[in-house]
Amino acid sequence: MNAQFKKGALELCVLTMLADKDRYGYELTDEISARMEIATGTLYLVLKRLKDDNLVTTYLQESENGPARKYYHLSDEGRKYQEDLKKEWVQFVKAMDEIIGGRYE
Amino acid sequence: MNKQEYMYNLFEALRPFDEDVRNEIISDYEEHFADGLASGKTEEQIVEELGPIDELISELKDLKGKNKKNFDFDSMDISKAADNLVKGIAGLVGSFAGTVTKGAEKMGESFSGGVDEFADSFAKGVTNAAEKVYNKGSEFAKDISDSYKATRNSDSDTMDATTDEANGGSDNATEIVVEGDCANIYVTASRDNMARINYANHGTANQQLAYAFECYQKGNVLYGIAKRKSFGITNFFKTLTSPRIDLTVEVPRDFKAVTFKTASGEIKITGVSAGKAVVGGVSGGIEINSCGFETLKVNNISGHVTVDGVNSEEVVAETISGGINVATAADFVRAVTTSGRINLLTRNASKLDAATVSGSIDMKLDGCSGISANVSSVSGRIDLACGESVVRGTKSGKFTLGNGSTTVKASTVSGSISVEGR
Repeated sequence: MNAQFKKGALELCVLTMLADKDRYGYELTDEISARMEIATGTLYLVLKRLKDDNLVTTYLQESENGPARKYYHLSDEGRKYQEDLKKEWVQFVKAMDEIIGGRYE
Repeated sequence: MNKQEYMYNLFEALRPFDEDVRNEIISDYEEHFADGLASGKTEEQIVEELGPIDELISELKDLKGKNKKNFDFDSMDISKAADNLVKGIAGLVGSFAGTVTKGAEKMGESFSGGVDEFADSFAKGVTNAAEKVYNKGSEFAKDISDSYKATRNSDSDTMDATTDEANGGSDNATEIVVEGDCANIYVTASRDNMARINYANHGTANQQLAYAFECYQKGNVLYGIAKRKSFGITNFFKTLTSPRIDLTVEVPRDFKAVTFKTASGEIKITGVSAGKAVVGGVSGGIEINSCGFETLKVNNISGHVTVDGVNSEEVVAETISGGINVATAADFVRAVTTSGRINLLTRNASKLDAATVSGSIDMKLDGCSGISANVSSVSGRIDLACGESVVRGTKSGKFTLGNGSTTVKASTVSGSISVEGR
């Protein structure tokens, strides 16, 4: 996948899944990688970037599988960003659909 | 590729990046493996899904801009490596805890107190140190004393066609340092006064060529170093997966100091008596059984630490991801992990210090007539007992039981704490 394209798309995937509820890394990466062909490792970098930009916050919680899990929580700023990004994305997909569907002059 | 190999390669690839970035990614991946394995996947499947490390590194470079540091191989001193690991762990514990609750933040401060300077990781220290040794090989050769007894079998005349072996030893050394880039280290007592180090590389022919073993004595110190060869810029061998290398060591009684370190592999030490013992790992378990030391310091990153039946004035055991089990007659015991249980069984100890972020702490103190406890858990139950004095289901705080003679400090974020003097 094209790097820039992928960056935006994965960001939106993660932010959207976090809009429902807080989730941990494996939950996010497993869900997304089940639907598209990506190296799950790079998703952790997406999460890290979102965290560095204060769009998500993290906290640790004990898990039954051993080590504590790092949970990701969508910040207010992140919620706003997700809404904007989603709008842009929908517009973008609509425009792409029209063009590749031959609906242009 | 299995998890250990993958994590080792990841660790290597992350070396040029900042400490906090490295630790964060390593801990994310550890967690990912734990969850993936729990959901029924194999290590190989998870490795496959995580994808090539190169890809991660190139994206990380984009993310961080020019974050690459220039290595100065001479700037790292072998003896500093272990200290730096301790600082690295303390710093990491602090930064983890910082992200949790207020209670955890408090804990983070107490963990990371006094750790201001940049803490570099142990593995880098080892490799840099080893690199130094390799680069300066000829220089070292001149310094080596007459008692130098190392022998190196050439590849053509190895006794075993599938294993590259080499041996070294000394009959007058009083200290030993054994380091492996990627090796299991097995240590036992020597039956005579000879210290011996045996190197066995069980990898493929190319993997055998990619690793070197150096054994030499300098002053009273016998060194045995197994490391990946450096080939300048091309570094072709970097792309190879790690072979299985075993370093088998025999140490005579009452050496002044013993140091055993590996970046990837397990360390087992049995029946050794020595003054100062330093043991360090990155990925793999560390087990020390039936030994006597003046002081014992164990550092691990990803793996458990077990110290069983060890006589020592002082035992310090630290890891990041893994449990710690210590049974000792030490006067002072310190155990620190971020994710894992801590079990301490002590006799006549006067000071105990245990801290974890995620995991329970269980202490049984034999020969104890009183406890001064400073305990804290954010979400777990705390029980304290010493003879007739019992405090059950309490909250965090300071307590005195009996004559208060043993000082106990225990803190966790999620997990229970039980301290029993008897």
